[in-house]
Amino acid sequence: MRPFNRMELYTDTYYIKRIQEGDTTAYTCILDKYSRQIYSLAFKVVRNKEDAEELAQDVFLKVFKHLNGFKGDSSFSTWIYRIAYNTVISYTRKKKQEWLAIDEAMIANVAEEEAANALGQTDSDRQMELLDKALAQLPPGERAMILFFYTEGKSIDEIASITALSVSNVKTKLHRIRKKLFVLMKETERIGYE
Amino acid sequence: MNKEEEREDILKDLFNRMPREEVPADFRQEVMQQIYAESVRIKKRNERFGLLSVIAASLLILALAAASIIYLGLPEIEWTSLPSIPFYLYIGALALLLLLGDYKLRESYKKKHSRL
Repeated sequence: MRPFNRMELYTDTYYIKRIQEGDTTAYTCILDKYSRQIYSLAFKVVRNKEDAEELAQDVFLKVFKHLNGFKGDSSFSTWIYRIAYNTVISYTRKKKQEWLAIDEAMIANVAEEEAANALGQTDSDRQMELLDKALAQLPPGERAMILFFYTEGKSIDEIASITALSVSNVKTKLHRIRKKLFVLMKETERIGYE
Repeated sequence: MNKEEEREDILKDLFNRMPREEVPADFRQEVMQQIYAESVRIKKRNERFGLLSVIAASLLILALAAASIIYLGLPEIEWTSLPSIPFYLYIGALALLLLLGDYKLRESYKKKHSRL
């Protein structure tokens, strides 16, 4: 078998090629590289350790099964996130959990500057707490999208590819989700003081 | 910095400070067990598919042969004088030579790549 080339050592393409050639052990490298990201994303969306572990396992099994179908049209990272996104969203749909419906008018009428300024005055630990609570109230799809953008550092184009939405749709959705987060954080803060 | 940037920065900063969950200790082992099991399953499925393909192809050839014998009848072979024997021998020798060349080239390719 061909030995590792130092330049190739960390590229996904190299590992994929080895797996496709029958070297199943090379999958550990893919697993080591992406397991934490996928597990963390699943956990933040479903907010349950056992479910997140099961979903992450399911994602990696699906990735392995469909590895021959990966044509390299997008980066491997985007492809694996697309599988993760679909798996997690499908799971949450099956669970039929209900999410807080925020009145559109409420989002439109809220003074963003006021909300941001109010948050700016809160101490950082409290801000983190408020963000966590606000995230918990978002529907899973929106939660995943905002996590892709901020936590995973994905670009708008990549998010569009992952979620199968148009670029303009992703931009609009992200803008609304950000606004929604501010509204929810402000509301949680207000309720906390009352 | 304008208000929009400031607001986005608050979220960006907060998300950056959000801790990333640790993967459970046995996660890697459990996934790899499933992957090895799946790998064996795929290999077995491919073997079965290969075997079925060979059987299907053989049956098709047999059916075609039977049909051609039934409908066309067996051709009559006449063992008369064969003036073109040297020509057939030449073609046969050429085919063997090419086969030998192919074998040697494959051998040298394998040696070269196993050294890398």
